[in-house]
Amino acid sequence: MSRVFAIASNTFRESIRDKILLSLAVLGFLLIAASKVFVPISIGQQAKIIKDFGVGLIEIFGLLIVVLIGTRILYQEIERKTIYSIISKPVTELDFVLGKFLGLYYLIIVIQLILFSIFILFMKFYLGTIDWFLLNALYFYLFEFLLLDAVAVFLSCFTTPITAGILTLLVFFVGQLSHYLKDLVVVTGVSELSVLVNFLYFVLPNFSVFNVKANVVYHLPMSVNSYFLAFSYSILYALILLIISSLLYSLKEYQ
Amino acid sequence: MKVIEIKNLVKIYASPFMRKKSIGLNGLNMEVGEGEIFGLLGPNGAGKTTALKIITYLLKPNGGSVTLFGGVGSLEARKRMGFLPENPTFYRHLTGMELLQFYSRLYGRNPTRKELEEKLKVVGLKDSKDRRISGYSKGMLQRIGLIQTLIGDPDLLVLDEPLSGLDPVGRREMKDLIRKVNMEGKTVLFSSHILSDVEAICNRVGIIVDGKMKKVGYIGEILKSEIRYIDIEFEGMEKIDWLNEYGDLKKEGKVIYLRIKDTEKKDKVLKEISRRGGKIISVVPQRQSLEEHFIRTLNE
Amino acid sequence: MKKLLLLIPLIILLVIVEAKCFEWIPEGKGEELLFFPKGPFVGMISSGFENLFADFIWIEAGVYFGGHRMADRKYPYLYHILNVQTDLDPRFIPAHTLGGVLLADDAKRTDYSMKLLNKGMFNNPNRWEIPFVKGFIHYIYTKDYREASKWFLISSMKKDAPDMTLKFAVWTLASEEGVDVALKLWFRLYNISTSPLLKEKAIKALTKVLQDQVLHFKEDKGHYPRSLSELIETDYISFIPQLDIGKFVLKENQISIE
Repeated sequence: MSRVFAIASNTFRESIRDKILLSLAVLGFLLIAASKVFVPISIGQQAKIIKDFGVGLIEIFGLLIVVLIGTRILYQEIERKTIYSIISKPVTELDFVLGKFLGLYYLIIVIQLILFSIFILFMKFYLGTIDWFLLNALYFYLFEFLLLDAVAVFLSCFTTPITAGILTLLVFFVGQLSHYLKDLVVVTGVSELSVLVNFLYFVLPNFSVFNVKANVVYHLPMSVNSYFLAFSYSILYALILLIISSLLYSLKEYQ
Repeated sequence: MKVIEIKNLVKIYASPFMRKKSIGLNGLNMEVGEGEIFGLLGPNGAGKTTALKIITYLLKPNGGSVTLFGGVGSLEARKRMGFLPENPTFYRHLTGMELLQFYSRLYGRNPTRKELEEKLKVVGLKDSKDRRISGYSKGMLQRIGLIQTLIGDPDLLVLDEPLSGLDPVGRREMKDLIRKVNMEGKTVLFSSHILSDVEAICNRVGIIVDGKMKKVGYIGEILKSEIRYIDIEFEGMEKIDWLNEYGDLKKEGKVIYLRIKDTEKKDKVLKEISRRGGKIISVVPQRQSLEEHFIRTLNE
Repeated sequence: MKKLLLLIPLIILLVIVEAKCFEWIPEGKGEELLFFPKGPFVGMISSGFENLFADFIWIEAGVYFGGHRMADRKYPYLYHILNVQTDLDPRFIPAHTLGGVLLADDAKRTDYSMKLLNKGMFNNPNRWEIPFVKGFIHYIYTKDYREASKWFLISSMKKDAPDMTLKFAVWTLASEEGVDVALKLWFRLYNISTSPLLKEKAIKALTKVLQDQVLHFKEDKGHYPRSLSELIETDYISFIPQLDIGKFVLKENQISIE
């Protein structure tokens, strides 16, 4: 287990020192601040708009980190051949995959916390009060990105970073549309299409369980069920993906 | 106990797109005993790196068997093994110290900074310990590469071209280190192009050609197997043409060099030179060099 | 370094091209939202970010409305935008309430107004604001006092409904155009709106009602009232609405705010 944490903290360190992260952080801060631009034309809805912006942007940022950094971490090890010195040491594939996954997850947690802190300060500064209810979104995001992290790790097992990145984005967006997909089956009624749509609905991770943005902004309390679902669904699905990933890795060779 | 026992190892490289397959190893047989320093020689593409990578679990064989430490599992074997790849690359974002700390943790160890500093001192990297790997020269990479093989206190070291990229001083230090760890009881398997290095430190040598082990033997035996010629150095004679029938003559100033191919005739020639008033300076039997042996093996 | 230098002329080129494109876009006021997509489609595109998209559409609606108010005062696509917006974010009350009023008042389409408000009530069954605005629209614009009373009543039965709503239900039962009720209604609207647009509208309407009463007074009595208080004493109005920005006064026979 300590091997997993060793790899995780190494991955975390590597990502932190990645220059892309710095650019993203600056961009993030700027964008949250930019929401103020929309205040004058919001027709009196500035509180709602600032909140929607903050909550939406923080999620987009988590997404960007997974897509831009997460899809590269495994590929880099192979491309730079640093993996030679890992495989020849007493490390199992599961250790390796879990370690990489966790390292990226540490990074995501840290960034989410930072962004939420900035957002809270921003709310205090521009709206006068802090809407603590919005922090519920943080809970859901943390599990959302746990799952997305696993998806990215899985996809980067067998494709290049760019392809893995695009696929991860696709999985995320299609995953958000799960309920639309369900409706689509009913609407289209065409059998071949419905097989495909059903497949997409069941196999692809359902990210709409984490979509609480409307709820938190309107202060609609979510059921205990939804908290539990976010927790268990993401962990279960992620575990499966990681196990498959480690199996894929055990088949790999390094010339 | 045989540390490494390889029987009929086969490795085929098949590109998924091209129908052509290339054979990496074609029935390799090899054994490395405990405490040996075994040198693996061979021309480019012979299969040296392939063999080493299969031993270190980077590649999977298509046929044959590899038995390590008498037959332990993969995790156990890797615990007792250290690998230095060719042209090693390490995490650029870490410092030397951090790299060693990380690898230590992979072996389940947690050495103190002091302990690691001592290790770094051995290869002369103590002052660079807090410098990022991205700033290391090739020689430094090679040196820290050797240290990371020793981190887990392994019984076996597998080194792929460990001396490449080092300046003469570095090479000597590396050779000394290899000898030193061997004296401490570690078995060493390494591949090299540089025959003189192999000659200098190995006790056993194996020559791989086209994926098969062509010749294996103890260095002493290979080199002692025949005395090819004897070089006689002498002076004080004017007339030397009569010596041409015995071998090659060369005159440099007052000194004359005679290389006798027929070593049986040595005593006769020496006697004759003395009788004619020549003064013998030196008599040196030339053994077969490893290079010649190597090239000869290739051509067989 | 070289790559960076190459980037600069590329960016300049991009800016020029974009500027040219903006010139090309026809200035036609009204066509611009012709191709605004339908609700469910936008919903799919926004995949998870419905609220954010809805906010952008809200802003777009504001820009559309404001633009046309300055120009031709015609709002053919207002309902469409608001419809899409409320599909994406059904819980956004102001879109229904402000939208409903603007559709009835400025766009003069009470049918669209009702459609929007009905949808709002369907999605937000527990909110009192929407049936209230429905009652309001019926009273002020369609002059259907029975309907108005009905909706005020329904509004009063919702959670957190202020007492005023029940009172309005009662007053509008009188089935007459009551100046008093109108005054009270607009004042109510003023108080509950979060958008400056609606507040502005309310102030205008209140000013007109008060001004109308001043004129009625003149017609009946032959002279102008000395102050608004006199209007109260003589039962032409029952109260003077107190605004955040000031109060109504009668100056030189004109209503103004100080």
